[in-house]
Amino acid sequence: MDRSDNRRILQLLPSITRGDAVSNDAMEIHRTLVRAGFESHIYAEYIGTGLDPQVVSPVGNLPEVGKGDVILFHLSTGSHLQEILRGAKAQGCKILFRYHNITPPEFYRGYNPFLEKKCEDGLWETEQMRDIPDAVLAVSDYNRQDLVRMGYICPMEIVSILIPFADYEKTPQKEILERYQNGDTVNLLFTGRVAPNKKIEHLIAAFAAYYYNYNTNTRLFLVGNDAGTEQYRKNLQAYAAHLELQEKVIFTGHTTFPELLAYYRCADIFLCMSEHEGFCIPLVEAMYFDIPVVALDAAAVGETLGGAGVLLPDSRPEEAAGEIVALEEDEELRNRVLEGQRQRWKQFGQEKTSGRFLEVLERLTQ
Amino acid sequence: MEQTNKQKYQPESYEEFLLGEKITDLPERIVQLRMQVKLLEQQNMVVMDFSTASSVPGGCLIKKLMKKILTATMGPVIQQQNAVNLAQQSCLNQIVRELEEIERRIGTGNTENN
Repeated sequence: MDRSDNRRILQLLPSITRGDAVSNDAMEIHRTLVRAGFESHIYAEYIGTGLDPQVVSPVGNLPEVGKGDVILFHLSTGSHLQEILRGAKAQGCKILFRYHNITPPEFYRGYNPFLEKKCEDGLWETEQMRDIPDAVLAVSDYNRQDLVRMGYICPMEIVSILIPFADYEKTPQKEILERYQNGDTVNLLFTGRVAPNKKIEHLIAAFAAYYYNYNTNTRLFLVGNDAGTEQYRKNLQAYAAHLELQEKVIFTGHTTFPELLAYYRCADIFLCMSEHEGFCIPLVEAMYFDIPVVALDAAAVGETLGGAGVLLPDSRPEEAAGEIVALEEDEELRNRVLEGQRQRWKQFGQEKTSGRFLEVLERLTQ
Repeated sequence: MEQTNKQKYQPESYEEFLLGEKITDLPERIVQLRMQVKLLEQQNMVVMDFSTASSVPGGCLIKKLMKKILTATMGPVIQQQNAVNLAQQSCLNQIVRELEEIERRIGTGNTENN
């Protein structure tokens, strides 16, 4: 159905690459808009390789905008786009912010001064820009509250990340499946950047408690890119070696999508100890793959799980290990948790989220 | 589950691990401290009062450092409150001073809680 009235929706973001959460959201929004009959294009300051130039262009190519146009700005880090947004607003263009949250800079202290500064700038800019948007589409209530604390008073709606689940039915990488998918070893999984806010050290500590107290036939997959956080990854590897678990804790580095799918297919339990998430897509992915989730109740994690999975009140390793062993040994509990997750996942189905996105867009841009 | 009656393994935390990594950058200081600990051991003073360490500035970090060094040197350390005699207090103070010096040199602020 054409809901567009021939309107033009232009997305603007600091960086777009293949595979990161914000970029994926922008791409899926683009597809949703095109399906609904809108004219849609994405503009970014930095463009990674392999992206279709028919869809993504450098920000310098942004056309003149005016009344009737909508700019959807993805806010997740510092950028140099504030003046463009102010200029567009002055021309009568509607400005919507898609707020993904910004990692508190202190997490990067001692690991990457550039990223620390980028996050500091992002937070500062977010406060500075509170008079710009006509409305905000926050990806979680946690994020909405963040903006309220920063003084945003415009209308704000919660529209969760759009995830193209059809892609998750693609063929997983065969070698990984053959190597790791077997009935004996308990495979614990975490997916996400090797970033200090993800508290991967707590994952390793929890894994150590599980390994040494309950089950030595297990391994932990840490699936994610470490670009920019190499020192953190080195420290984590040294920590795993110190706990004599270097053979059991597997850092995959950046993976292709079929590799990512294979790790999900091999996993028995998804473990997350992250202390800062504006949404947390991997939890939704784990629910999609029917993997029981054990996660620290921090930031937007509890909200994303929406009562499903197993939430940890703190990051004590023995607590996490106890929950893992309970899920492994108590079939009834495992089934109950999985059933809860299946119900929760339905809220993130493609039709539901894209329908909600278009409905909110329509309402906010009338 | 069947291990409820046994002592559970508790992994050393990442922060303690990093601290230990920094300490190994100062081998001469460690040798000195271990000698102090050996002395304590010879004097049969294996009971240390960590609450005393906690009462001095930077004590929480120092407590962690002490525990780490003492454990490495003598095996598990017995913690007992109010079990300090004057001789022990003197040795303890000396170690605390040494550890404060380490703390100053490695530039690790004490932000830990007990």
